[in-house]
Amino acid sequence: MRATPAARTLAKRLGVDLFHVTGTGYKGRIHKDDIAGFNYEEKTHISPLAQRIADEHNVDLRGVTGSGYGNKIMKDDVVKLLSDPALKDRFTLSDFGDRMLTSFAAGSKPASESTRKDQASPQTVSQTASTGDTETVPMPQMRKIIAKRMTESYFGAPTFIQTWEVDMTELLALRKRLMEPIKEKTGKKLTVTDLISMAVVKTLTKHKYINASLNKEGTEITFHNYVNLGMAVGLDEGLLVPVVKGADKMSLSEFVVALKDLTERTFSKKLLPDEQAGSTFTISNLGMYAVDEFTAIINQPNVAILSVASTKEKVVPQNGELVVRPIMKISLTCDHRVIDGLTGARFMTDLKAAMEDPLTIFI
Amino acid sequence: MDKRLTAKKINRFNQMKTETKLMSVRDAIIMAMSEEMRRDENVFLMGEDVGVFGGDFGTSVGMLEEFGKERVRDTPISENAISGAAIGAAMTGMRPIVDVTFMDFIVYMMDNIVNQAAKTRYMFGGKGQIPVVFRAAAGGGVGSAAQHSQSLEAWFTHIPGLKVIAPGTPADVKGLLKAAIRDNNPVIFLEYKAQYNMKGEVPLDPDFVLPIGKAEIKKEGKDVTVVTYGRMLERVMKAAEEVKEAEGVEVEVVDLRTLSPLDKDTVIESVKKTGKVLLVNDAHKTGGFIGEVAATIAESDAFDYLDGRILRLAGEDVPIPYNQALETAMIPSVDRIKKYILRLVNNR
Amino acid sequence: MANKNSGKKMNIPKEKLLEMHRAMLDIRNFDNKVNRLVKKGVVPGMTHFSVGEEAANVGAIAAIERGSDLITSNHRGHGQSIALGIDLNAMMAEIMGKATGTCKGKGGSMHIADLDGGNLGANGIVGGGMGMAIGAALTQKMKNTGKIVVCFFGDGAVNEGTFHETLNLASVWKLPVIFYSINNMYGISTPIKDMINIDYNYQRASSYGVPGHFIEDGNDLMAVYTKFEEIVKYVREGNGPVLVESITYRWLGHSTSDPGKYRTKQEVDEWKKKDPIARFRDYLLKNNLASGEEIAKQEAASEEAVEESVKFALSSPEPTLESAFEDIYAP
Repeated sequence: MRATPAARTLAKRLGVDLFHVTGTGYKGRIHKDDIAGFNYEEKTHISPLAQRIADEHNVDLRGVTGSGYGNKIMKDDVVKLLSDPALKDRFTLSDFGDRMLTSFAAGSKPASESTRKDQASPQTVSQTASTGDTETVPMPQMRKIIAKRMTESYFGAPTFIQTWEVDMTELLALRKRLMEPIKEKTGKKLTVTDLISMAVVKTLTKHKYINASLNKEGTEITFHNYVNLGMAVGLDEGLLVPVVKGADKMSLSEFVVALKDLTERTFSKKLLPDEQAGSTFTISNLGMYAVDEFTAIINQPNVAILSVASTKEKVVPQNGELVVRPIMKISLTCDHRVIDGLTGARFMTDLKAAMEDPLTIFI
Repeated sequence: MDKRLTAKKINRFNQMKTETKLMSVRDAIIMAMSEEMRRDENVFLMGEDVGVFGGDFGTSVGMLEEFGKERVRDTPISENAISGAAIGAAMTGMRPIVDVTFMDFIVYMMDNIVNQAAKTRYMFGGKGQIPVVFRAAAGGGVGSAAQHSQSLEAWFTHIPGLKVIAPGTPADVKGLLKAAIRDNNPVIFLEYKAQYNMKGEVPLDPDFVLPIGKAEIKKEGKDVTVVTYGRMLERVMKAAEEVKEAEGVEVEVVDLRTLSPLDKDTVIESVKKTGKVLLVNDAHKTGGFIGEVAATIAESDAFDYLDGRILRLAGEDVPIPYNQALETAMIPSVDRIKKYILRLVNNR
Repeated sequence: MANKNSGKKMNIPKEKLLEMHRAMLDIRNFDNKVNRLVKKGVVPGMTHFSVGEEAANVGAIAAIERGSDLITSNHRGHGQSIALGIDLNAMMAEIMGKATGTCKGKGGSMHIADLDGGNLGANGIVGGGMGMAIGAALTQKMKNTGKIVVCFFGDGAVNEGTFHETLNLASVWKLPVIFYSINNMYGISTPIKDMINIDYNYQRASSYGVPGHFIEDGNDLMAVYTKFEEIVKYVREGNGPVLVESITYRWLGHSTSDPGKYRTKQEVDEWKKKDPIARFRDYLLKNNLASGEEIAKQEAASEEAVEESVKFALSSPEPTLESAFEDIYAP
């Protein structure tokens, strides 16, 4: 594996495994910047001046191919992109919610004709090989890391899952009522995720075994008297888990701002390494898709993970009558080394109660 | 004439100390030699055509008139005798400057320089000294073809007992030539034919002397270090400016000035700072002096800070061709220097 | 063997005559001694001996101002160094590579020098001293010191390009230098007759516009001395350089690693009969210039001095490792 002496020195110091780093140098050589910018994501290959200009105009240049050596994005490329209003619009960083939808819906990146010198599709910075019906790509570094961690978690921890149904009527109503005030206070949109998260955080403070960490060897349990909430964020390339630190001490508006900021920066690849570590509990939310239920894999060193599925209208019996209610299934994956069925059930009971009567969160 | 030390005179004197003048390398050389010859009567100049003709490159114009033919000596075409006589005179109390003219002819002087001058003091156990300066016009760029365009400094850096100097600006030429003349050891002093007309600000102070063995950072930067000397300094500076303009790359230019003894510390510190280094000289790549600098960097503390290969850009390994376009292509150009800089910056 | 000058009345003080005799004895004893030491393995490096050439050396040195005039020497420089009066102890120590040697053990036999005494050094490069000699002469001329330089070399050196260049330049600039070729008739193994197409090297002098002198019997000390008196005067008067050649013979090989296959034992024996020291001794005795006693005393003193030098050298310390890195540059 090619790596410069400076890269090796820095990697050793930061405890980065060179195996996971993709080098931007000749023949894949790893350079110092590759380590320094090691963010579980490939760096955009861009010259310092071009990067400055891009930042000034708040454009995201992922997937853009440049005219410089090795397809590096140079100043002229950025200037050209900015002078075309349609292109500029497409690349300017927008609000988090739209971003996720558009990027998923759009599929592969738009080929910006004017920034492309050759005919190669500027999918991502890594090269792809095409042979008719199949397309083979080398395992991107982010996926490598996810693969490693998921495998470790899946095979390392004996888990069991509890799935519960939650009546979302009250929570949805609360959201409606708080939309305006939150918007006024923070300028941000209040989401269901925000409220679910607050419920989870509140409940966690009362269940120390769920808010715990287990060391790699499985010999030490650490109880935290704070809650760092990890929120799984899906990107095209893979999965990132930004962490809201000290979520238990935040008010709703503070939480909304923090989560929004982290998620935005997750998309723009501006997360710092320590914003991706240190969680005590993680939520994986696929509620925006029509999934009935699912069970996520624990984000070690956590001992549990909450999977949030979609809310669906269902017919439920109530007081002898049939009514239609918005029902959401939530699943808790637990590490049986630390959590038994009873502990898990107790937590979920309290969480369900909190979500079905959300005003109690704010007591 | 009023001989009192008036304020006006003191001011004028102080002014002279810091005053500079725009002049060519050639004029700086004449000034340096003349000042030293006025200062010390043991200093004299000898070589072919240095007298009436004023030197093959005009580097001693006016000196015969000022100092006379005892101290500005025309010689027969006898490089061996010239160098031998210079060394014998130096050993017995004089301080000769030898004008080698084209550096290619120094090959005729090799025995006297390498076997005699460089070793005598050592072989005699520390007795005796040989304060002689061999001034040689090196490099091409003037269409003088293979036997009149060589830069042979690498050979001399290999010999203990010699000092080798290769300045790249008129001010450095003056300061270092004076230093070489005042030094008590045999010195090989490189001048570049293509740069005799190059102009720059040169201090007029007759005591302006630069230290031998100290490199100078001609331009500070944080992205990449370029180490060079002599003729290529001008091109490196230009290339550095252009990449800053175009790409925002900040180049740190280290001008070695003296090749032997080499200022290792300045080079190593700069490489540690930027992690990337390009070495440039006009002499041939194979066995060229920048190879020595590269090895020095690779074996030093700077190794762990290297974030890219140590690149060399030198003259091609061919005898210099006559055709002008061909000759130009054989020596590093500003464009190629920029290309190499960007190569390093782009982690190639 | 008739001594050319045996009948002449010379006004040379007895002191000087004995001095010259002693010098020749020292050279003979010293070099014979070193030869034996090399064979025993006590001397580590290359050495070249002047045994047989004593008169050619001493006669010339006796004619110059010792301690004032300058000489440059070649690889066969022991004779000149000793004639100039170098300290035998320091010289032996240098040949053995000791720290107390003339060059701190860093020069060896081929680079023995005594700058204060006017000896600008022996030289390992054939012809290497010629440039230095004319340079030193240039200094004397520019500073008007009145001193002269004698440049010693052999017969083969005349074929080096530097001989031609330096003699020409010396002639053009009228430098006070004597180019002295000690012709012992062989390079290493080749007779000079095969290497030049003229009879003798002094004949080249006219090509450079300088006078050429010939000492046919270089083993006749008086002949060498009187000739040199003449040319030293000429050169000191500022008439420019002189080329002089004397014919002599080396008894030992070129160096100690020389089996001497290129000459016959007969030839060597013939020349041994012309022993310069024996001849001078006879000359002194015959002309009542010295007594047998005085001569015997000198012989004994010379041998003793050489023995002393060996003892001194053997007991001297080796140079330190650090000393290898010293003296490369002048401060």
